[in-house]
Amino acid sequence: MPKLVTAKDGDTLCGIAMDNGFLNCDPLRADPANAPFLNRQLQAGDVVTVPDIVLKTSDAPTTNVFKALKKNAPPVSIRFVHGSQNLPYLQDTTSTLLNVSNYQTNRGGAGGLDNFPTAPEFHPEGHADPDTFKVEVVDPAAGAPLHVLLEAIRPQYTLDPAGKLTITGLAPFTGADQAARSIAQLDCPQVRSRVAFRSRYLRLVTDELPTLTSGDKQALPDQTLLVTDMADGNGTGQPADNDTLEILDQQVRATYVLQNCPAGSPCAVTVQLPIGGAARQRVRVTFHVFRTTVNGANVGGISLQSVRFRAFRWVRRFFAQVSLSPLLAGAGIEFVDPPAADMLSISDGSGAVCNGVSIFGGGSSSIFFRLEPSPDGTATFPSTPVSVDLGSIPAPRTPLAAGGAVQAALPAGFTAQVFDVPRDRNGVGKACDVVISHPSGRVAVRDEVVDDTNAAFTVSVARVNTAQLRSERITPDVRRLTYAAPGRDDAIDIYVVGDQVDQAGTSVRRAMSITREIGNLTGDFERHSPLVASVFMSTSPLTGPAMDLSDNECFTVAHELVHVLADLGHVVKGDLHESEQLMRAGTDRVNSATATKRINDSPVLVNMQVPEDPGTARLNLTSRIRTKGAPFIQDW
Amino acid sequence: MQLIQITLVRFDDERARHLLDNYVFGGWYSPSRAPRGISPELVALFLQEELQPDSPPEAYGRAVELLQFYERADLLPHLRAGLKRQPESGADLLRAAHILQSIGDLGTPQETAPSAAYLDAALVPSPLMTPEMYPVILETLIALAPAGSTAQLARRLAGEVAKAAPEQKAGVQQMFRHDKLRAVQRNDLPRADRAIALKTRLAAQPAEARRAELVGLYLGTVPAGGLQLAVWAARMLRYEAMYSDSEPVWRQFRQALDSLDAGALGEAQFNDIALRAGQAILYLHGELSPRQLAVFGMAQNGSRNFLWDDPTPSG
Repeated sequence: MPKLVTAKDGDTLCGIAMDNGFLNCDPLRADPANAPFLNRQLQAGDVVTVPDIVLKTSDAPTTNVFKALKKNAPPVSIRFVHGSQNLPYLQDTTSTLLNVSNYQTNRGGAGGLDNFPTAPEFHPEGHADPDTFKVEVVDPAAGAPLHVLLEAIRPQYTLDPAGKLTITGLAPFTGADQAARSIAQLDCPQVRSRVAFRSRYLRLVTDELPTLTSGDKQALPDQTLLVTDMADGNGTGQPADNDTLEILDQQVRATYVLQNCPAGSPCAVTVQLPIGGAARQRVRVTFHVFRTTVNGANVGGISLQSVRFRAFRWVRRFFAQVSLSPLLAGAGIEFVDPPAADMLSISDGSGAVCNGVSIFGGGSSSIFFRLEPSPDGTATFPSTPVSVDLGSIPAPRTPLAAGGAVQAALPAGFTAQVFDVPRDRNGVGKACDVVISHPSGRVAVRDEVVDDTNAAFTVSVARVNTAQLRSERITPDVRRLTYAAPGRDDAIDIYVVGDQVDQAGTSVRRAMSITREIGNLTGDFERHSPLVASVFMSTSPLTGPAMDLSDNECFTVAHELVHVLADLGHVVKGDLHESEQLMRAGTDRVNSATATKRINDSPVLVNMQVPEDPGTARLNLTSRIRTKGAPFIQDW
Repeated sequence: MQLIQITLVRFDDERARHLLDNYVFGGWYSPSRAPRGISPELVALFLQEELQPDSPPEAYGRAVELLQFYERADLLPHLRAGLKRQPESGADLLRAAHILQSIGDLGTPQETAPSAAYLDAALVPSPLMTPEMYPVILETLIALAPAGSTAQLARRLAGEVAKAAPEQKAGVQQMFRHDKLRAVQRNDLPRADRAIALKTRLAAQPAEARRAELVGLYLGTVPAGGLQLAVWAARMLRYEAMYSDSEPVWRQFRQALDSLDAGALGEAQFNDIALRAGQAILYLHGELSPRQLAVFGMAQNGSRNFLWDDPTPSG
């Protein structure tokens, strides 16, 4: 009586046939009940009819001794393995997930500096990278050469009523996308003991075909599988948007078509694994892009599309090696007017107290300023002088107390926010910022002057030019931009400005981050919200555009995010891995296989600048990102 | 006389060079405090070898702070080589200002006078001057004092303010430019003039006459000079302790420490000043009384001041 077998993922007609005593799938294909399965691979839940075996008897004399070979055992199978040096092949652990490699593509070994092995079988240089893998096929009836199709499989998203994207299916890429993301004929030579066929060491890489130089895929085309994004920056959060496709939602499938299957559409065994698995997490980021003038052009002429493109292409690619991906949090990407000159900074840098005594004759000292409507706004109030009596403040007359006095001295209609500024390393106390506002529109603080006998007690006004931000240190200008768009404490804020300059107006950097410096800055020096965990990106540094739709300076955003996540500086100059690391001081401008994009993980440790004593440490950056960056990271 | 060293050398050459490189050239993420514990000779050698005329201005700024601590006047000829006849870029301008600051800190009157003249001739008239550069030039003038004066800079500033005044209504950036220049004129310039006058007066006085005021300047209890003169005062006191007699310097610091009024100052400021005084006494090889030691111990707030050698926890 025929038997019914419910198929599981990866089952084939040949496999079920062999499991039930047949040599191949011919008898199953001949059964009309299996007609739906003749031109497609089986899917989980398919019910396959297995016909009865017709026993054949023979009465010939058995006078000779024969050596019998069971042609269909062990059953045909395929799996991913990392391999081992000493275990028998078939006893190697089966991989349950794959990861994007942290190594330079053509390098290997425990130190990460050896050549990556291109020959099959065990090699310590390939084995040392825990993210390498091999495809193993068992088919006793197969002869060499044996080939496997290795390909990336894309998720299919659905938007649920709550607006959340969920994966409701998986499907191969198609056309040119499939061609770029697959190895059609992956060589799997027979292993020495002949029990299986195995590929050489393989790696997952995220670089697509580059336009200028060779990327990771080109560095080792036969031993890398491209798993990458399709970001174009045009997404609006819809399931089919190119921006929606996550690298870490993709899977990797290996397919082996049975050599001896007699069918016209032959049986194939497949194995499919996720990328990153449970380690996948998301980093919350918010972009605050400044305009050059009120309601005017964005700095550097950048667009919503270009910001999305930078985040969803390049940050995803470089973060995939640590199983992270950016998540736009809070406002996501917001465009912000340049702040008015509405902030008084008291004892900026010094944090000095005032004496309350005037340099003019020993009376009470004061802060004087005038409030006027900013010419780029709609405010309607008349020019308003404000005088703040510093002598009436009880000692100690700290900048914060003076800020409170400024707030109290404002005429009706004006309000102020007072910010406590962490103490500067060379200062004697905490400075204070006071942002003044009026309901009718933008305020300009002008004619500021102070006459206190303490020369270190100063007042200044942040007059910010978002096209040329002064950032030789955490200046009042830097702080004012932060107050303009404080973001969320659990997200990393990326402030996008035109350029960053020093006092002489010279372009000084592509970007900088304000890290927490845990273990170094304590007490008054400790940085606190909102003046921490932020990145200041230039759109137009000397090295060319950094936030547009090009691939120039593709490393910078990811590099800066790691500063904040891992709370550290750069790779120490002279480290053996310096040239390839994402955290090298001064990342490359253009992507290539040897460019500055690796985030080291065990076993490769890299010497880095850290805030804690003694200032440098050889460490696992991947682990540090996850531990120090925990406040900004959430589950997948 | 007690032999006081600038620093207790505790790093070998390789480690010291690493620390110096990280401090001078490490950029945004480098430590903000000049590393202690390095042989002064090595500091000079390192800067001689690594600080080039085209090094970033920021590196020259770091060199200023290193040299203030390590007092290596022998490096001035090397630094002077970085001065151009006329600055050709904003970076040149800023670099030159830092070089002149070091000359002001370490140079003899024969060296500071021509440097002040160079500042007036090359930097002040430069078309590369920005409103933000004025405070830097003023700091340079304070460093060079008693040589030089703010007169020429003040004239240029007045001219710029006059030019910017009618343009301020043309747009926000024009208004910002005017207001920045006005702020320098109303605040930074008179403050620098007062600092220069104070420094000039104190520099002319014998050690005994100025000691108390220098201690007050360093501790911030005579706060007329600002942070820049606090470092200068510290260096003057260290010089006296190293090359003359350390006892009067200790005594002055002890007296200041004992007279602190916690009630008037508030806890944070009291601790800060007590720490500063205690660190100075210990750095200059003096001793604290048990009471002072207790105050010093209670005052620890993570602050490391100029007169402090950053000893390791084990001493």
